[in-house]
Amino acid sequence: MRTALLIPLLVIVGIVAVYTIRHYLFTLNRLFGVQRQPYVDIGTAQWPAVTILVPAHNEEQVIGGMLDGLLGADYPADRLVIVVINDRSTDGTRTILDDYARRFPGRVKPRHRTGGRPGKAAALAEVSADVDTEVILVFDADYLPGAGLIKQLVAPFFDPEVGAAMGRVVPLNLNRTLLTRLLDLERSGGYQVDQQARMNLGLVPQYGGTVGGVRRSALLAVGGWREDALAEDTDMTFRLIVAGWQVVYQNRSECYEEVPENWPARIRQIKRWARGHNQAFVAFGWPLLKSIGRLPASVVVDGFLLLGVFAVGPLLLIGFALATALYYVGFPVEYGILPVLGVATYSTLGNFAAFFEVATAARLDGSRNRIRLLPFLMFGFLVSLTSVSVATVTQMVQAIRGDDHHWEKTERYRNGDGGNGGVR
Amino acid sequence: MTVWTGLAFTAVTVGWWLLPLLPAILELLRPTDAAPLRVVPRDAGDVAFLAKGFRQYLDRQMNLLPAATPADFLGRLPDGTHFARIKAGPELLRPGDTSRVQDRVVRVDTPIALGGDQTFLQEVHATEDFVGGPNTVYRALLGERRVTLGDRSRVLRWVHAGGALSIGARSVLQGRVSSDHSVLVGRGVEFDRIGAPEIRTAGPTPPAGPAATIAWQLPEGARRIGDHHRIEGDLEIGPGVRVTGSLVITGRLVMRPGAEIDGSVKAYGDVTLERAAAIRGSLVGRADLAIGPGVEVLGPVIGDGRVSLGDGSSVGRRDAQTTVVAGSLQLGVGVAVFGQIIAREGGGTTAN
Repeated sequence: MRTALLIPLLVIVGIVAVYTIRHYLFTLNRLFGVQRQPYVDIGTAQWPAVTILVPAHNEEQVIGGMLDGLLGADYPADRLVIVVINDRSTDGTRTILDDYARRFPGRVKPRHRTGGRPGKAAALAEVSADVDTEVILVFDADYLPGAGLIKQLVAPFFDPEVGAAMGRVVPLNLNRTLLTRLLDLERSGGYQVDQQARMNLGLVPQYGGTVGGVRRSALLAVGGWREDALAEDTDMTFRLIVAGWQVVYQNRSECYEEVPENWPARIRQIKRWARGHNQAFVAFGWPLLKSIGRLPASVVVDGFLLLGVFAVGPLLLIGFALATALYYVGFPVEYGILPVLGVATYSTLGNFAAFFEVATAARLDGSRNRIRLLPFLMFGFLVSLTSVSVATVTQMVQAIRGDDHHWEKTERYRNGDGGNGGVR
Repeated sequence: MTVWTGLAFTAVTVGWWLLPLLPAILELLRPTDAAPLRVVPRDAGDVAFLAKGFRQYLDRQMNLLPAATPADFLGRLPDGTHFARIKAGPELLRPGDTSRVQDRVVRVDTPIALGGDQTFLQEVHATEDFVGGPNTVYRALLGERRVTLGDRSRVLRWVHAGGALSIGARSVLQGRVSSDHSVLVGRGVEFDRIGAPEIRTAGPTPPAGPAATIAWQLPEGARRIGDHHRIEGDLEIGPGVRVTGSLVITGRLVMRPGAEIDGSVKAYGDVTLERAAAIRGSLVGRADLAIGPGVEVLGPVIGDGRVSLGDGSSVGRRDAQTTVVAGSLQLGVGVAVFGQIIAREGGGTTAN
């Protein structure tokens, strides 16, 4: 009995310790390592033709600002086409898009979807089939790109090995609630430290599905967007990596976004990410491990750990349950293991950015006082831990029962209150 | 232990626990750092950004000067900055031996050629041709027409010319150097960042080599990934051999004289391009890049390490401008780069 409980506990402690070490390595690399942003200074070039895809569902509050930002981009106008994919909007999105198309003929091309599978992945898959430009960038509808961003995001594609590129997402509405401020800290840690360290170390920066893009030939080579992907960004990242392409991150290619302002929206978002990541773990875990020899071992190991980040939450809960069970059946855990689990739990949970990563990111960003909110990250951590675990268990049950999933978009808040998310 | 002792102990414990939360609670209740991070600076990618900003500043200030301000004027701008405007009296910029330091913004509205050994602690704006003397230090210099910097000049922040910009030998250019027309860089010059439709180093340009005609055989083990081939290990492309398509090489790359890649290439090891080799796309190197004499690269050159451009080599074309990004960069004589040069750890031209 004791052995049956102890062995899984030791395995869990080992896994969590690996993630802890990984986060420390990333943090130290960002503080003391060589920083790589090889493409971001390319300011003059023969820029390739680019299509920017903007999936949109009920985005009347934000889509105008997004289009104004893209139309003001410092990029040759004759090589830039903006395709907004209006996916069954029921608000004024269609009217706004048609107005922009009339005012900017040839530059803004709305696609009004009225059928087919709903959701971002399906929308991208449907429209990408008609795109003939060398580079495809993707933005969410609530983003506010700066003038130089498009060139910065296209520049990595001069490297023939790059299949996807990703920029940094910066929250715009952080002064609204405690949650938005915590998400601002989390985003800083995730991008400023985690993503950039992976770029520095030649590991697997993740294509995040927005403020980034893919090379069309790479997209075609890996079979296009997968319509049923719950997280099309993670799915694309790993399909590219397994096929031998490189995904790169540019920390200086920054773009504003809105983050959820209330906890229910945040919980829905994190659950969606967890389900998508878990789906990718099942799809790519084994193919990635089989790639050892063909891909550098460091890429395979980091990729596998990246795939598993959302499994760490449930594992932590199982670890606590096992330790408690051991205690109550009369076999207290030996001195040392439980503290290790506790410390690792405190400082580790995949892409929620370990706390020391957040502190480091705040320093690198030159932020002074926002770091004072760090203790409150514990609340976000507990919510995420619970949400991810619930999402994982639910997903397993749904998989067994053969249920289909439904797409939930994140609510927008600009120019008003939220409430336009959660659509089926 | 009494009840009060217990309560006091509990209060101290709770207080102790709350202590680290106090700054957090205060920051939450009275935010002092809740503005979004500043993103994508406007100067990203524009080498002449600082010069343009200075031009706007000075235009604003000069528009505020009284209409009766004489063409030759020594005084202050409306914001209090010390200022000199020279039109008919260039002797204002030719001080005696005891005063070779100009601690004022200088506007020159006449063609001028300076004697040298001067220091301009504030910006200089020349609306006509400007010829600086040797051993001159500029904080920053904006010339609307041709600008010539004498030998051993030093620029501390930026220099921009609307016309041709010529840099004297053994000059040190810190910050940004740009021209709307062309930049000619003398020998032994140190620089960080240069941008112009045409950037050349002094010296002869050799004639182009013969076109590569020998077809390339894909090496064993090469894998096709999308639109490029991946080659494990080192690769040598023989003289006069023409490769069609893009390559990713996990080892070193050597292109023998006259070899050509009609596509882009990336190598994880050192890259050596020998005389008159050509790459019609971009060149990406994770290690050092040694680009030999007469080599042509059409697309961007992106090097993590040391990059050297040999005598008479060229990157980009006048009608196809591009960028060279390097850790450190060494330019031979007669080199032409069309677009931008960025040497993160510094660059230089051949001294002899």
